[in-house]
Amino acid sequence: MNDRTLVAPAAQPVATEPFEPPGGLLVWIVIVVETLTFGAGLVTFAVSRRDEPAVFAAGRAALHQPLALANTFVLLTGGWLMANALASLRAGRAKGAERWILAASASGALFLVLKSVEWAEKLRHGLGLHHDSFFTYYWLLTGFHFLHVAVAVVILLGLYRGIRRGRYTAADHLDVESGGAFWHMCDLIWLLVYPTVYLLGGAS
Amino acid sequence: MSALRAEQAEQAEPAERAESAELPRALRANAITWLLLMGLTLTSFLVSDSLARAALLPILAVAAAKCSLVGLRFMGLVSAHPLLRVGFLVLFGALVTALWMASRAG
Repeated sequence: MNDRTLVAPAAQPVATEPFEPPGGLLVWIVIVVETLTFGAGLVTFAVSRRDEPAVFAAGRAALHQPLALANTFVLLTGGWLMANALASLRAGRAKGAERWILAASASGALFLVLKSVEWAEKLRHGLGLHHDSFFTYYWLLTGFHFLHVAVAVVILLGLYRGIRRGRYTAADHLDVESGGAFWHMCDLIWLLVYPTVYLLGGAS
Repeated sequence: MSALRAEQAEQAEPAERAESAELPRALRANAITWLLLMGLTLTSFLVSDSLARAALLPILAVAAAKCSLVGLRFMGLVSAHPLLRVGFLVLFGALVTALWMASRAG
């Protein structure tokens, strides 16, 4: 009887703690909601492409493929840098974490610059929001993703400041995990937007 | 006093050694994941041009693989509860399947 009462309290946290996702439950609710929202937009895009294959094929042909590929590399590199920042912080290397997270923010900023260059080129050619249904989806999907990356860059810079001031340590870094999860969400969404909008021309 | 310090340092050593070995291991794993992601991205880019219309399934399969890598490795789900991993994979698997079904000709 005594053995049971001794074992139960110790076993309880072990059984419940692993259900907590990295970064906490709140940021994961955001991730799931955002992913489903973008997913719905992408599925609608795919259905419209099936209905108007010629419009969507012409729209895809007008996109700057090498720039989109470069932007994908930049975003994936940002994800890698953020993962390194968190690993360094967990190991108690705050200076290293500072550098990695600053580099991750820079990659986010570079993504925003390259995307702006791509947009400027589209606008110069008169391919705005109301050009056709392909470009309506293009602007909405890439525009909302752009906003998410911009917010993530601000969050990363805030985390950089926090690490620099000693607010986040190896023992206390939940905010950094949450911010990192939000940043990776931008990766995940782009990994669906990129093939759907830029690579797939509509199968038949 | 100095003997006590030396004893404390000796006791702390294995933990520190383990910690210092942990970071390079984590950084190496992250670098491998990053290289895989870059390779898969380049593959889907090349496949989209060479296979044209037949590229739908390979490109979406590569996208699903990339999402899994980011979620499991970069976001740390690999060490989370199995139910969280399954939930993540089901969410992105369902999204990619929905995209595949929506992209196929009716």
